[in-house]
Amino acid sequence: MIRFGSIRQRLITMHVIAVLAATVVLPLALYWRIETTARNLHERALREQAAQIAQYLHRQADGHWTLVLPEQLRHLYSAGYERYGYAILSASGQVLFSNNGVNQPLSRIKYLDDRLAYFERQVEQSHLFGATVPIRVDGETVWVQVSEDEAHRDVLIDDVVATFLPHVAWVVVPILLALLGVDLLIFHRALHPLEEASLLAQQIGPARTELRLPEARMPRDIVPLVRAVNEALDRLEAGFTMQRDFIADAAHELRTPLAILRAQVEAIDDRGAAAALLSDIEGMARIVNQLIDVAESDTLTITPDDVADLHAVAVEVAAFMAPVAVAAGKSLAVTGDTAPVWVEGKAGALFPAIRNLVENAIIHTAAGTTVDIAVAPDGRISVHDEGPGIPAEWRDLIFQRFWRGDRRRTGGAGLGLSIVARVVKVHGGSVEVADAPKRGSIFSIKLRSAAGAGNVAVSPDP
Amino acid sequence: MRLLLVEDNERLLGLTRDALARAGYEADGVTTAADARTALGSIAYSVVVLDLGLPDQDGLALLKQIRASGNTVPILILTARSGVEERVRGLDAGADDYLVKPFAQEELQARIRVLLRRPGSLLGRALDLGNLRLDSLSREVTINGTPLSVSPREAAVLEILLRRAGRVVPKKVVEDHLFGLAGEFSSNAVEVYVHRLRKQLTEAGADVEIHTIRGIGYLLACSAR
Ligand SMILES: Nc1ncnc2c1ncn2[C@@H]1O[C@H](COP(=O)(O)OP(=O)(O)O)[C@@H](O)[C@H]1O
Repeated sequence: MIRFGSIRQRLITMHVIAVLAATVVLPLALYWRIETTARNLHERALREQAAQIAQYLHRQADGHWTLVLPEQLRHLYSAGYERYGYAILSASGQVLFSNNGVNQPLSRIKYLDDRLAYFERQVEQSHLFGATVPIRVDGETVWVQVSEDEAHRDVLIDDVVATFLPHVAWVVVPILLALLGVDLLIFHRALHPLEEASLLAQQIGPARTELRLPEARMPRDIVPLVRAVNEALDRLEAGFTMQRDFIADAAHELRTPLAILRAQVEAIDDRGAAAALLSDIEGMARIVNQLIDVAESDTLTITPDDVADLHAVAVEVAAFMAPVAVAAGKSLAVTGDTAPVWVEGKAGALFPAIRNLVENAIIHTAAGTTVDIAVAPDGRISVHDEGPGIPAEWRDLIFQRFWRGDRRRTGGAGLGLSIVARVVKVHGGSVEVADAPKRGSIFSIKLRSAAGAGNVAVSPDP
Repeated sequence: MRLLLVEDNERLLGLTRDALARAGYEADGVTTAADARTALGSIAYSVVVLDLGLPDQDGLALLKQIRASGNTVPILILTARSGVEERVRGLDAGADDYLVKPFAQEELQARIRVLLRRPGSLLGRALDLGNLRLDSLSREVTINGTPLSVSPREAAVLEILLRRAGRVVPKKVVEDHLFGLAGEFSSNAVEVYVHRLRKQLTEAGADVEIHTIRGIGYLLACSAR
């Protein structure tokens, strides 16, 4: 059995086979039908001819037979016309009359029973088709044989049959091809809702759990399947939402205990011990923030209507992180153009992504150096640090969830860059890491420019 | 000058009140919305620090009630929720500022200092950070009690940085504060003031530092020990 890739392929293949078979069988069947009909007509005509001739046959009292054909019939059977022939045979098979002048039967009679028989003979150029008809005349059975030369120029019916096949074929084939075309169109329309549904189904994922397959316009026999799938999606969504909310709620719940811990540590007189504990608490707070970021980025969706000013987000992140950088003896700067840079996206989602990059940069950049956040007008933002850089063999790994370079040195959970990757992916952008010219690394995010939005924002006052 | 702390977690409430007391702020603490309403009804507080997660009433609803009753006391929201929408909702409901847990006590105090500077408020006249003190009325600046000779403009720059100590103050905000909206000034005027202030602070042995956050503004913070 052949395996077909798709329903459409299967339908089309089967259909083409059916159409090809029809293309062959239909003309043949028609041909056969016409031929039998023609033959039946022909045979009936021959029987009638025989009966007509028999009307003029009589037996005299002395046992002699006479045949007086009227003028019109005589002409038909004349030797000159060559189309029709007849012969009348006695019951014993002796030729009584014939129009061929040689007193021969048109066809030899094999069995002298009183059965009607047809014959076909090829004589030189002519193709004779005839009948031997037993008829009772004046109390005695005679054999009336009549024939027609089908090769005669006046015979039309065989020409019709002979030319039928090629002509009909040329009509049938285009009609069947047109039918095939129409059917392909019908298949396309019938399968369209299914294709639409499968395209939609491809978008269903953790970020778009609310999508459902449409039941409208779906073939009735598919609706139960669609409904069952949708119900399964309902249950999945419920479970997924519960899990996500749980992560976010749990993370939020951790914030108050962390605040208590922090307040207690800040009250410790031993500044050195307090500083170490505070940095641990900050690490924990970062992980809590990242858990919330993860839960939020999982449900993130972007529509073309969402536009954000990348420069404004950069400034916001820098202002948010600057105290941390300064406390760690490092600094932060936002460089590049100060004009708004409009990109497709949500500021609320870009903020945590860029914040994570800047947090990493502050952690890894050398003491006394400055982390540089640069925004370019084409929708690119780069974070440049002067840290150890990212070894080439790590570059594919760092964006994975829970991947950490040096487990002992930094207290991170390895979530930061996976959040960045996720947010950037949803935005249809890209993130990459490169070596900085002197030392350290440059993480850059490229987002889609929101070309139209900029014009709206800077439209001059009337 | 009296602050009201509304926070349902008694441990956090106690620790925060102690930290505020050490910094010279007197604070009353309550753990329910009902107690908060009673306290606000009897005392004119200078600032209210309000946790949104209260046992008897949603903090935002309480906030709206306070505003609806015509009370304009500066309110700082304290919350475990960090989303942008939460922030917007809080500010829309009439909050003046918003702080996410866990927070540094220093940060809370810095924000309270900003809120205290409201028209007509004589409270919070002296601003302190490390060994730096600025009298917001006389504009006198001292390090460990020794006066610095700063110009009124320089003192004004220092004051706005002090009120937001520990936070980045955008350069634009400093300029607006100094020159007003229509003022004519050279683009590097603020840079010149900051440069002179920095010099004087180091010479006088201050343990605070003005950091430049390039592309945004300035940040006044205690020097890293
Ligand atoms: N700017 C950087 N410089 C050097 N190494 C980095 C930088 N950013 C990330 N890394 C490395 O990538 C790993 C994964 O980073 P990330 O996913 O952000 O984890 P975390 O959230 O724990 O910081 C880190 O453990 C670190 O080894």
